[in-house]
Amino acid sequence: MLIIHAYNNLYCFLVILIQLSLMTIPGKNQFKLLLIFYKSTLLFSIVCGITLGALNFHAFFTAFGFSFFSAGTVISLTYKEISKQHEYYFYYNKGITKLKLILSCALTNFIIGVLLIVI
Amino acid sequence: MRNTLEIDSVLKSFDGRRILSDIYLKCETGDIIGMLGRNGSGKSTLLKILFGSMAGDNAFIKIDGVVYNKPFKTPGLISYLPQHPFLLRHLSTEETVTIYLDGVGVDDFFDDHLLGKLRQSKIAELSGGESRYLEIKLLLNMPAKFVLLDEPFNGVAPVMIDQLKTMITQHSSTKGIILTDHDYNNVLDVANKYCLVYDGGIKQIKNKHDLVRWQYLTVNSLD
Repeated sequence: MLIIHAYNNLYCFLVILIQLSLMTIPGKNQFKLLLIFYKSTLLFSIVCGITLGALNFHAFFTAFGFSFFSAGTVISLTYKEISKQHEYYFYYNKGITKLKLILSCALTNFIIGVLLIVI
Repeated sequence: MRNTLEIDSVLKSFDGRRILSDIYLKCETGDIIGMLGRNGSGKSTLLKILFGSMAGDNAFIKIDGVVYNKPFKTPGLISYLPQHPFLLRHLSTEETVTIYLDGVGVDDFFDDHLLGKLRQSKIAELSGGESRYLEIKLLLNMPAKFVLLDEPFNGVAPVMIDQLKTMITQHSSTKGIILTDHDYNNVLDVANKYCLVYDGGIKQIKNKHDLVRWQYLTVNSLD
């Protein structure tokens, strides 16, 4: 019962993220910039995933996937906010908002994390 | 085509301290507005509100008769040079230019005495002045109707400042430009309209004597 409830919540969260991202991604040519931003956050997410995954070695991929999209996303975006805030203007000048960057990053991490957990 | 940018009724406070109060500013294609003001007078804040990256307590931004909350979200309207470097350090100069110009006119962009030799360099390898020059040239070459430049001459060598001033003047034929810098001589040199942010408001400036009157310069500076 608890597992079904958790999956329902997960599904709702995924649908909301997809809807929000689709609403805020207007053009195909902006995907390259979103990808550049995503790649710049990836290191923290992977390190976070590996660290927490290693702590739960018997269920490494589940722990990796979960920490990759949760703590990894939060830590990498917080790092950006604190130490690389001026770089957001690189994206602003091309019409991309901070919300769009954060949502696209969170959505991608979420999908990868869920795939790792499911597989 | 002559484009018009207007910002009206701007109010902004930080921690209860009023920085900007009831500002009105108008910029048209062909204008190079030199905005001066003491440290902390609110110049950068005004530019950020105008660009849309900072919310004003109240602000009414109109471009060609259309009201925008965040003008930067609409491509081709406005670009902004912040005080601090904003290019991504891990990208190469060529990658950056290709992304920013959507791959159009990249070779022409690098037909430049300074940037030609830096085409394959990473942004991280450029000096502060080279990076600033690249940022300004990129923003001026983007298809934006208005360009906001916050301290464009900061950290740039005199010879490059002259090139930047020529570039700014050339692009003003198709854009409206607002710039602010503490190097007031260069601002007065390149701009064709001037204003001073003073005590939360905007004062129109005609000559250096007005700057003395509003306590931006001392009388000795006129010599």
